[in-house]
Amino acid sequence: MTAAATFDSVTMRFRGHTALEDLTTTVQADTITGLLGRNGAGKTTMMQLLTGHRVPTSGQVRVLGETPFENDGVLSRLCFIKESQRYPDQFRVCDAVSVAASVYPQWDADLAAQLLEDFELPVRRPIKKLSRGMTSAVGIVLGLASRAPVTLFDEPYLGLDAVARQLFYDRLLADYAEHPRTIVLSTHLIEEISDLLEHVLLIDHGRVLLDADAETLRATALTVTGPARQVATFGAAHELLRTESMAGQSRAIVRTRTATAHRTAADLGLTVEPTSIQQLVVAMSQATTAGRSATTFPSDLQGVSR
Amino acid sequence: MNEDAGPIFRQIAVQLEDAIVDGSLAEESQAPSSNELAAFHRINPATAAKGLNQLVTDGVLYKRRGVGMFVATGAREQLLKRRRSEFADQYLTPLLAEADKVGISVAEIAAMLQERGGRA
Amino acid sequence: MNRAVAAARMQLVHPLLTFGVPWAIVLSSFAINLAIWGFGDVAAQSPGDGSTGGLASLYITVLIVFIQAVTQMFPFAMGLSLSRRDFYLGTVLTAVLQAAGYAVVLTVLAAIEGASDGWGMRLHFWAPGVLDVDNVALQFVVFAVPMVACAFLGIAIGVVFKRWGAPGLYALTLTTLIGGGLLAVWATWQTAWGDVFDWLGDRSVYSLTLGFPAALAVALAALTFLGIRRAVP
Repeated sequence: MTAAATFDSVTMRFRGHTALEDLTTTVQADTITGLLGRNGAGKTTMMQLLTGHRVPTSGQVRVLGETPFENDGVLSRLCFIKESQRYPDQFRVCDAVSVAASVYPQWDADLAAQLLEDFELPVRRPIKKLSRGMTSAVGIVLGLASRAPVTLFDEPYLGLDAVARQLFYDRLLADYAEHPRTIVLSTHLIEEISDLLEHVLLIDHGRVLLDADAETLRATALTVTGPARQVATFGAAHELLRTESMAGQSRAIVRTRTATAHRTAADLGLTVEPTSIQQLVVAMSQATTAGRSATTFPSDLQGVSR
Repeated sequence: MNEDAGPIFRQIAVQLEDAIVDGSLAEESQAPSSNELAAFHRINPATAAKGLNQLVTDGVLYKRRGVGMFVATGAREQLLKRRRSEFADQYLTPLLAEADKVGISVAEIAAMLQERGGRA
Repeated sequence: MNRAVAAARMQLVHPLLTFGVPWAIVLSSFAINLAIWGFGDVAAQSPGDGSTGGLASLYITVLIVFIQAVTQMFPFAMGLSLSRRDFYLGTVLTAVLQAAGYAVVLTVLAAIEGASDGWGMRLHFWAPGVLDVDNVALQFVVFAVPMVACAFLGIAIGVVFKRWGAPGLYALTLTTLIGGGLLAVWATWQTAWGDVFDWLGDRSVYSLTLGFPAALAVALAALTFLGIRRAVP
């Protein structure tokens, strides 16, 4: 798998705090990678480094083999759509589109026209006068129609209603299927987009917490339920992320380490269920915050009336 | 796709197998392409392709260069055979475990089967 | 080079606004001057030719237009993955072309003014005082170079704002005021004002309208390019 972008021991320090700490990872070419993480985890900083908007304090960022900073060869193949994109006052939707058309070498005008219609964007209205959702839709149109070999979306759906978001995912998938490119999608709405992802990159406090293939994650993330002791035994052999106990029974989210984990759990008399990527991500982030590899939240519901 | 049902590519493969078993996807007919599956299920095309490739590996589908994936002759028989052999593990083991838990003997199970099986 | 041109064209998406506003302002200033000269019959009352400073409004408006050219367009250009260099070159290109275009118009207006003996009222608005030179080519240059300098000054201010934000602008204003103030204090203390004016008076019109602005433009161009490299959209 070729790498579209690489982070090599990248540290990014701002006055007052460190956004990225010795981060090393790769973005695979021609895949949809989800960049997940809590607010302030470092996702936007990573994207700013990929696009040459900022320069790392130390370490090296490479996109398509070269550093992106002021590099036209790389920049002409890059598209960065961020939720906080500001457009010049007086610029109408059609102005932004025509300027983008003159900048992106692979721009598809038909696709842009189709998307403007799909999102019902008033082309002659100044962007300043659009609602938050419509402004985001403008960004999405630019990002999709750019056909840039490396396209980055930083939470591009701010303000978009559920119908418009689904439209975005559908159009993204359709175009990606016909014209594969490297897409990095940073998001909070993990559940909504997890089916689109091939690769998951989870960032926490400036470090990589998870860097794995989405399908593998789905195969190895399990929720086991059963007697507390058996759950603990099972959890000890794998990566135990979170246990919740009540009345002698436990439920644990586990990342399995062996191929026979399912069988082992069943043999121990535990109920095994697969776990969604969102639950896995939340459990891992919480586990890290707690500072331990497993956290137990005993819940005493004796006082709750039945 | 069911986010809580494990890897999506397996769900895709199982759905296609179901279609072959119940006859709606005939042998030697063309299977949906990975792009079609991706659009229909709203999943990544690579994941859909993985599901199709799994079926190719299993011998259920075969690739015709430049055309697409087709259901292999004998695929239905093959799948039925596999499901028959998995039947005991998938259904009987949990059944016996639960029966054991609540105290139902094998003889009682046999009697139940006769009664309900007869009705079906 | 293509991308720099795209950046230049970005600046001209709304030409009516970019060109219209400065000219509207200077033309209304001209109209007011005409009215005052005409109705006030100033020509008859005061000797000599009347020069007014209304033309300066055009230069100042251009300066402001180019501050906006940076503050408005830079984030969008970077958002489209244009390099800072391309944006900078494109904006500079726009500045130079615009200055040239304006200078042509001004030269024509100055010629008409001269030929009509100050619009029939000895009003010298478009080519006041020393700005009126005989050579057409020189006239063009006398108009163009200060305009380029004003545009570059606007770009520089825009870049300061983008790089250091509002605190940067305050710092710049403060430094300029304090610097200027200190110079004035020193000049007064050394009773050097006479020398200062003598020195300025000795400068030919060329060094004032060409030499100094050109030097300023070049210095600004260099500093701005250095400054923009670390600006974040």
